[in-house]
Amino acid sequence: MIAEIGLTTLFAAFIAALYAVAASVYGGRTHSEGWVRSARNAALATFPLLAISTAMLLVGLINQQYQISYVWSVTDPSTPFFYRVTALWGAQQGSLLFWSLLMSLFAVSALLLNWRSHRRLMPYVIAYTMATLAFFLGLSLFYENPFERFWILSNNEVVRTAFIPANAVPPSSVRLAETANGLNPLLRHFGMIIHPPMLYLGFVGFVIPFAFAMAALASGDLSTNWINATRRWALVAWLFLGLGLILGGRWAYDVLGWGGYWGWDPVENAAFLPWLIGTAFLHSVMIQQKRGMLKVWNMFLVIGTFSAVIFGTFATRSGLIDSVHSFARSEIGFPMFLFWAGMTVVSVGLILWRWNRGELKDEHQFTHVLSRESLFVLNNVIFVALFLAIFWGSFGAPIVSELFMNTSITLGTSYFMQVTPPLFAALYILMGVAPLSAWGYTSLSRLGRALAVPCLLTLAFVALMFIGGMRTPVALVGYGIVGLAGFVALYEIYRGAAARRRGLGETWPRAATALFARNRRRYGGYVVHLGITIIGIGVIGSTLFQQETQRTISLGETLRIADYELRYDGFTEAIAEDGRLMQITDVTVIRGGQEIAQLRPRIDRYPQQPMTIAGAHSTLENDFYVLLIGWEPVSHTTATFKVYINPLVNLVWWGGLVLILGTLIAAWPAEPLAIRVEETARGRGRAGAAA
Amino acid sequence: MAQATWEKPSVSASDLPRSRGRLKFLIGGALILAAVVYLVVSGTMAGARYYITIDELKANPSYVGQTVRISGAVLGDSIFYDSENLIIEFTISHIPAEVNNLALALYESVNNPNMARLPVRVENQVKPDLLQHEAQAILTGQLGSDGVFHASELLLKCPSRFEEAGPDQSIGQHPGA
Repeated sequence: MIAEIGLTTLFAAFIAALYAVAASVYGGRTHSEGWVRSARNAALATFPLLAISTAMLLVGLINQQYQISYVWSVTDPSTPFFYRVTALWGAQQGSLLFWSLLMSLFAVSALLLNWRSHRRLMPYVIAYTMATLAFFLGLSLFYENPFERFWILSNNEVVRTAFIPANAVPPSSVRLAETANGLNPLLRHFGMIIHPPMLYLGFVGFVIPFAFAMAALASGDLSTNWINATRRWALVAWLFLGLGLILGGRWAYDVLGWGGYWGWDPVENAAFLPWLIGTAFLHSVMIQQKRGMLKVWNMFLVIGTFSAVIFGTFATRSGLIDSVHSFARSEIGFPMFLFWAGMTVVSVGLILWRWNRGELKDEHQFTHVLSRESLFVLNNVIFVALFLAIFWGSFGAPIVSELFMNTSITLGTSYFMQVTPPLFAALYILMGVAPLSAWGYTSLSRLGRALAVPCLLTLAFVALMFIGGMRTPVALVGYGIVGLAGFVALYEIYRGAAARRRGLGETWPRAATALFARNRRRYGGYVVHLGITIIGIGVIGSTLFQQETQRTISLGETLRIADYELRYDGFTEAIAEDGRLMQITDVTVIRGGQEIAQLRPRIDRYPQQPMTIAGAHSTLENDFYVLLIGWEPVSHTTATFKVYINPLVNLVWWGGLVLILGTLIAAWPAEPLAIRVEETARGRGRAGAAA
Repeated sequence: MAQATWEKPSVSASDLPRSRGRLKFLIGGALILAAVVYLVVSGTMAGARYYITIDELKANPSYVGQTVRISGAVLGDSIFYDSENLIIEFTISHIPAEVNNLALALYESVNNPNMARLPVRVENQVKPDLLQHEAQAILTGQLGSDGVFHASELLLKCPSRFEEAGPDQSIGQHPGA
């Protein structure tokens, strides 16, 4: 029954989305209010329908309905309740359904919140969001159906189909439960639990700005309306995407046991690409809002972001590229590629059409190299260069060599380590300089005066490091460049608050609060810059100064790394709740004769594979990260450990928190959401009464 | 809310002749483009690795000593791990470059004694949890003159374990059969 309800509602949502596309396009073309409203109602209906469908799959997972092949493949009777819930996005079929649910949630929220304020755009917003949704629902229905069940045919063959075949019977539930697969143990980690939903929210979130941009092109309302309507959507999507990336890194760091968090793997890069181009977009829309420039460029960026989202999903799920992420090769590659190509061609076509008609002319020209807009354009150019360089390294080179050179060439980590640092450095420099420049024109001396204090602070910072014993030139230069961006942000916040204090006689805390409250976008932006600076310092430290060693030591003996010692204290075995065997060592971390931490690096024996769980002692200064490698089998008198010291790695996570805070400040609506929804509802009531 | 907050006092637009201004932008743009192209090209030269099959590696002696990327199916019985000195040794067997069902290709490869096989040695690496029978190993390294592939990078995939596998046919009997 669960599967039938789930399947029916999934199908109904698919039909509703298709209907919404047709009705909204027709309504938009004929200016028929009735059709557009009908399309909106159909679009709104997709969310409850998909919520029911997803709930049914969840019920199946929680109630152990192993006849549903998805449930069978991602859980088993020993799976704890918590992981039964998260198994919803543990594999392809479930995560596609979950993706569609989130996509529908975003589309419905955008329709409710922006219905009254952007009526002219709405028919096409419905059309674009629902076309995307219908595509993904179609994948779920026809390629990766989450409600397929196992059946035994009359010739004893076991098949999985969505509908019951003639004369088939369900397999015995006991046998199904015995043979069930269980969730991939690598996915049992808090980072992996929230990382996919965050990433999906980021991915689907970018569909909203894209839909509004396309609606602007289709409807001919080419003012900044579409940008005003979607700035917050883009920020929220950008935030979730960033969070998803950071959590993914955290997962890799904790689970994969190589002491790193970013490996330039194609799948990681696939999620990083939309973030890069989305960041460029967030900056360049400011120029259109302020100066009426870069209209075409912004359109290309928003299409680029959406295109990168769909391409990333395609690359991740189709098995296009060999990657550490063991996603199955799947049938959905080809339809996804068609959808991606089709959407891109249609969007670019729309831009060229409007451009050709002269409707995307800029209102100002670039005149000075030293102006806010020129520096923003430079920032954009570098973001796009970074995007292209990473795309080339992950996908371009392998695909081109395969297509045209009859061989396959891949680019290793060394490519990325060589190409990306100069570009990142350029971005950090611009992050320091651009906020201090003025629109139109900034004289060099003026810019120099504004930069003087942050530059002095940066010099002091680098000098302190030099005195502290840091002698690596690359690191000193890197810290200087990254530090400057941070000091500019801090100094600007300080200057703003100081001006209020002087002018209005406010106390420091009051001046600071008022500053942020009055100028959320600007000062939220500075806090984001600060977060990126902190992440940058963490990345430089943990990349350049990681230390590692490995040794076999006897009970009571210590191994030495830097000024730390690690003592092997004992070995125990335990059985966890879900039946896995845990082989645990007790170790003590000693520094300067002081015992500073007790750690328990261990190995968990899952039926599918063993899993190495690191022990880590985290401080702001570094992580002391221990992996248990092996031990003397019977007596356990010796054990082998691999130890990493990862300097400043925690700044990467802390910087992420600052980044969240800054984005929230920048995106926080002036009027509470409830009021806007209420207004929309009132407007609807009036419109209904008038009709 | 106050949207207009990135405002700074702006000087009136054009006090440079337009063509000179444009030229500056063109030169600047060309320089940036050249720098990026240089970075990408030199990075590609340094980082490019041929991704080849075991058959191709064995068929062409010019690959000996050259850094390449290969992929193969891991033979579980061959795995040897010296955890004290961090040496991993195992044998992989050929899988074709294009496969539709990776799990099936891996299964067929390890069970076919006629498939080309290649001993692999990885030093200074902890044995990955996924290194097991029938996993797909993707390795970067060089084929030595000793016939052993010395890998500096080891990546593993185990598609058969999850998702693709279904229950075997012993799961039940049709009552009418």
